[in-house]
Amino acid sequence: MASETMASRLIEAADTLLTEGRRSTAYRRRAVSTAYYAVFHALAKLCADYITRSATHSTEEYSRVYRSLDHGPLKNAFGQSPLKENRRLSRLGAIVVRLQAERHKSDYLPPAIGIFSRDVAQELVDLAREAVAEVESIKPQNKDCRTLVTCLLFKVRQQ
Amino acid sequence: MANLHAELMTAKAVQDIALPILEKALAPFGFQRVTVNEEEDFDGDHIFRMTAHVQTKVPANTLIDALDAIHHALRSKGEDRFVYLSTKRPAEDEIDEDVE
Repeated sequence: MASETMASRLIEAADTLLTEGRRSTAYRRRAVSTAYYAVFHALAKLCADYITRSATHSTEEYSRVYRSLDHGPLKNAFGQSPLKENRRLSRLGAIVVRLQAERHKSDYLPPAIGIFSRDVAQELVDLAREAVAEVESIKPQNKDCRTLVTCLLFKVRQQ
Repeated sequence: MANLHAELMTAKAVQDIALPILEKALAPFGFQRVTVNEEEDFDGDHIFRMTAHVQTKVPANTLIDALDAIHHALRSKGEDRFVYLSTKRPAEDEIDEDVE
């Protein structure tokens, strides 16, 4: 398999679901959910690589940081300063937040025909692909990396 | 805070700001019109769901550029709710095998 990361393999899985289940709402729902998780894993990897200085993935430290990324705070982080004022990171945030909302629809709404049309599902997978590429292009030495990781993993305390 | 924002900018006002941006960005893809609806997301935050009606498929990076320009324009006017931008092409014949 050509892909090197969990995130890119998940994008491939989402593509496969869309191709194999062209006439199935269930397949499209799984594709959309998988697309979100591709981006989520890309962000978790970015955080773990940065905090642990790219420690071996099998170490307890790496796993601990990787698992520290929560779904809940993602939207808040991207909707607040400093991420929303950073043009590069706010572009990324707009995709992440959208995919997260569609993931909720995908995973939790009762069965309904046409919840995602083929076009919409493909569009969401394509957006996720761009988001994964963007996350994977953020270098650890770049200030954006430090800003993003800090905002995603650590909440702001008022006092 | 979301309610305060709702008073600040209506879906129509958001549409008026987005329209020239989309007309320019999506012209090569047969942009026709845009619709905007205010909704609540899964945990109750207010968002704008925006649908750009086009003739041909829009590449993801073009869509992201347009969305970024819309967010930037809205934030310059104090509106920082998220916009979910989709495109819609002329209806294709969708046959769904999932029947429940």
